[in-house]
Amino acid sequence: MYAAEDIGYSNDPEGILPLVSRLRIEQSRAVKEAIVSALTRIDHEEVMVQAVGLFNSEDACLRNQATVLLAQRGKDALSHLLRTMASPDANVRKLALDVIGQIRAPETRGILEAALKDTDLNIVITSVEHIGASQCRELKGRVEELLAGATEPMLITALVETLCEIGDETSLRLALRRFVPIEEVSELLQYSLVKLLGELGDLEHGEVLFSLLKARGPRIYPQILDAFTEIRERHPTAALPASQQRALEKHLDQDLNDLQRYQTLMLLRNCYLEPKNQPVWRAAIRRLKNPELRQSLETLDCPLR
Amino acid sequence: MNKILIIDDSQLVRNFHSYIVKEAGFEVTTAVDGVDGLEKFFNDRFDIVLTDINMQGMDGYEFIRRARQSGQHDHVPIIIISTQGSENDKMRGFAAGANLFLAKPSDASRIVASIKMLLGSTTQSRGNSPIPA
Amino acid sequence: MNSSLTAIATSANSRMKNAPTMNVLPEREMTSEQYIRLRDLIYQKLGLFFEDSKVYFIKRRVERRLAALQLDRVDEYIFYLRFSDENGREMQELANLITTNETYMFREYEQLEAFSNHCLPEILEAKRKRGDRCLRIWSAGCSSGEEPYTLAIILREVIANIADWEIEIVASDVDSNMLRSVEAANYGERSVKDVPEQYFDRHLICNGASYQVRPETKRLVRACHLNLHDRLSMRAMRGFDFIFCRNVLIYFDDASRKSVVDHFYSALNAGGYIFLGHSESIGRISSAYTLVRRGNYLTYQKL
Repeated sequence: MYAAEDIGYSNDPEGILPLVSRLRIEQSRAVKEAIVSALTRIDHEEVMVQAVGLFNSEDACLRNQATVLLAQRGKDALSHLLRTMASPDANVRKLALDVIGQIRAPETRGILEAALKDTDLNIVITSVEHIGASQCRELKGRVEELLAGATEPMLITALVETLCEIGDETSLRLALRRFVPIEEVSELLQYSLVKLLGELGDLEHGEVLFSLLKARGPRIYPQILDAFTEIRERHPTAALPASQQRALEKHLDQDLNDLQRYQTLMLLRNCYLEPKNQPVWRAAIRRLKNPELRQSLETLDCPLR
Repeated sequence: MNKILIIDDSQLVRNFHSYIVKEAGFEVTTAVDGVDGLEKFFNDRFDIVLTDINMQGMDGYEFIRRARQSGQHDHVPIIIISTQGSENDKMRGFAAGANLFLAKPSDASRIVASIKMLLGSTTQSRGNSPIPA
Repeated sequence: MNSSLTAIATSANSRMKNAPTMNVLPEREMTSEQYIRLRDLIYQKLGLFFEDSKVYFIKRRVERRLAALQLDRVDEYIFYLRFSDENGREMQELANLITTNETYMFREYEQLEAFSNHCLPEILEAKRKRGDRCLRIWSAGCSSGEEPYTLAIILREVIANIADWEIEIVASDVDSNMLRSVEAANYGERSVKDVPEQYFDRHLICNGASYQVRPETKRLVRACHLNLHDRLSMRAMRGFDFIFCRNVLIYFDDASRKSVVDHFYSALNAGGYIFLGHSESIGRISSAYTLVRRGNYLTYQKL
């Protein structure tokens, strides 16, 4: 272990091959990790060449270590990873793509776009995910196109959730046109569509959310709460319709965790401004277990920001 | 309510599988890799675990090995859901102590059915009689 | 075996310090999904884990960072952390905000309970069986010394026939000023506020406004200058049954953190325990240690 550490600190490229050969056969995890730490310190192309070579390994731990080594190199690793994207093995392509997705560089967009046409569905889904995570808005159109024709549930979920990150009103319109009425779509997909409404929707979508709440009940409440919170964040002064207020108040009686209770109360606070409503408000706040959350609501006497 | 631990380094996959099992009535805890998974596994009681294999940080096999080695919660079934699906990978999974191996992407009904089957079965065999995915 | 650590009621909020500026910040909504994403990211990058009960705590601190960076939304901040934080500097800023740096005796009571009621007896019993009477503990990055003296107090309270044992608590730090404080062993009110009442007079002498650690307790601790980054010095540290390194490693970069934790592994005896800060996860840094449950507490052991 100390030998590995010293080789690493010496930054000697001659050490790379011996370290990697040792890595391939080493049994002890502690030593493997020491070797990888050493390799991360050696500033040389060959480390990356060797690392992509490890993608083929039968040993999941080695494959893992290889991705760590490459992710650390950032942009420098891109050319090596790009070569790997030509591999006939989908597992290797996926490993490479997952590293690429973490690197921010102008070239990644092209790679992610090409991966959308991959023959392996997992690669396509991975690419969609990274497009969302890296907020690659230039590919919004491609994602929308895919959504129009996708049938596989995991892919559809990936596409909708990515549009949560990079989409706009057009995206929302497209999604709602395809998946309508929302109450009749699969429950699985409803979660993601609710998220989309939260990100991109407007006050008018509040009704849809609450009708879904009525139809589906407590299970989907956290997502609806999040979505509604986000919509209200964009329209803080709009009045809360009485029906929505009632629905929220009804949920306060449920067994909610503190964060959900807090979120619900934040949405309702404008309804309790008058002094006559204060006792009810205070009673509601007291059900919060976390004292900091309670305190923050108690000091909110001016709810309009 | 039954509690499930979902381990995967992809947020999308965590979300997707969470939605599926929430519909089936589970309380879900998610973890971002093997270490996170292990810490949560030890800290709480779960009825079943769903894990990926290729994860940055500790991989799935290592998680399963350590979870089983601890002797705690021996009876908790572990399902692997992974893109790595060769016969070798499956054997490795069962050898580590997994109960079932599903390929990604797996459809919701298959995942739920597998979970229900494992929770329903009274004899929990570990790795000796692999169940075909 | 003597008494185990008596439970004391500590007010969880007594340490929450709201800086004056915090009340001026606008409240922003943070959805549960955003909280989970942020929490997962902090866990992945810093190895710090926060339970659901900490949501408000994290939220307010993130709002300070949003103001500092002139960002509007939590989503933007998450994106910033993932893709624009080149040297991990922002992550460190956040780390500084979400970790409390106060040092005082009997800090992280639950962890000390696990140590004194479970881990320590286990180690002592094993040593008794093989006739080994030597116990060594390393408080790495001990700062002004509250931690090593806390351990000394615990040992003196918990070990029966302590005279039969050869005990050393090595208190190391890179800062010589800190080491001078360790040697002085003199502390103010704030440092001793959580010392259990029964232990107070047995181990501390009151000098008006300050408290001196009694000689019988003080002598268990040896101050030592050590830089955790210095490989050669680290390699020389061996034969410890326990290592405490709490709230130190969060400020190190990934590579250094790993290097230090690997050295700790070599420094531990087989069966030895390592304790980082309770929200810090060793498993994320090195997989060499084994996660174990002691009482209600999760900790890592060299097995």
